[in-house]
Amino acid sequence: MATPTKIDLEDALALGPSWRHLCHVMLYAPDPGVLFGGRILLNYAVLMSMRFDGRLGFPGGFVDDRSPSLEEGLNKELLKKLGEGVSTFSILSTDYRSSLAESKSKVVAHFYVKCLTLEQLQAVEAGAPQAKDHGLEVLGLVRVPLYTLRDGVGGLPAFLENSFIGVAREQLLEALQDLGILAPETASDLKERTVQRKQTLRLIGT
Amino acid sequence: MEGHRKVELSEALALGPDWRHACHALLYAPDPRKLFGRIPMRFAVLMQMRFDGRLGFPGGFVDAQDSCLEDGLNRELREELGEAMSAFRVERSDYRSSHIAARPRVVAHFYAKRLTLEQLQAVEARAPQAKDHGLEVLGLVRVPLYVLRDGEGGLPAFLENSFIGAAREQLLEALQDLKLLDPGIIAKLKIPDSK
Repeated sequence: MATPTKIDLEDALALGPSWRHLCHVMLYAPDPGVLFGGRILLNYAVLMSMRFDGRLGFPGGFVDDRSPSLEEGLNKELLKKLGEGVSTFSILSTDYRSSLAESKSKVVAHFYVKCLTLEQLQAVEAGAPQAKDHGLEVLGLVRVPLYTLRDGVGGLPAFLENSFIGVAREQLLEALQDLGILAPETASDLKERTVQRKQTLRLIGT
Repeated sequence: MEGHRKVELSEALALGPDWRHACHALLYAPDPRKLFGRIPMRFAVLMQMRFDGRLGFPGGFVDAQDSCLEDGLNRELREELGEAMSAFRVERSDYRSSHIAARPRVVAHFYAKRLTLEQLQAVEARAPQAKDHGLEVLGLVRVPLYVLRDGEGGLPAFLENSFIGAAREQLLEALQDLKLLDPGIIAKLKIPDSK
């Protein structure tokens, strides 16, 4: 596929009318839960969605051309994708993190990261099965396992081996590292393992 | 795949007390809707993202207090999926197959239960309140049964995800045996090798 390039938000917004704007958001919340009697701390709940194309991604979608702002377009899209549970908060311009432009398809993708309370995140999960797009464009919501199990593979490493749309895997790792949820050495190790696995798969022809 | 051998149920039940039994269920329902108004969904089929980052079917280990496999399965389903599971019961008649794994000594029994779409939607709606939600279960997902125009999106990309144990094989076998797939789709699928 064509390589997307990082672009400043001002430059992205100055692109001509033939460009379409795609917005996605990582929703996360502190989570005091523990797994297996306290041996594994969850620390945070982070949401991703299984998309209609069988890949994991972040909730969001294309912003209507008539939308007054990217954020208003994203909030409207989230209501469709995730249901009424998103009405307890709004994605704001301060939640914006980065943009990537892909000139062949004339799409620029904007990425946001929003911190919620655990109750707000749970309300999103509870409302999602009633959303307009549930069972169609959205096949379900999943939390991201942030831990690594004792075998060194189960948890986040195995999760990262799933199919991801576009750069969602990289966005996830970058956001987790920036937020201090993942240590830099852990994030770079996981990135390296993913690259190695892709090379191995290419070599054996799958 | 390596490490998993299919066995008859009678053979599985005759195994000694050092073997553990796990039961999982594929829940499915006819779905008349169309993606983008043109791609038939055909059926809603449920899987879940597990705590270990892999896709699997709801269910779990049968324990000594369970008087039969199905009692254990239905108990686990209520823990993982919540109270909507009380509206129906997975029975021996829904049983499909057993796979044996030598290390650890576990035999995995697989069931497929047909629901109405309303029953399946009720399961999805109540799952976020289940005991195991956010812990052993990270969320439910439906399985895309179509192949998008690019030949990869939909079921082929879904099958590239990480699956626990024999879950990918169980899914494919059930989709074909229960005729949940459009016949034209099966020809398009290059069934990926087990990872």
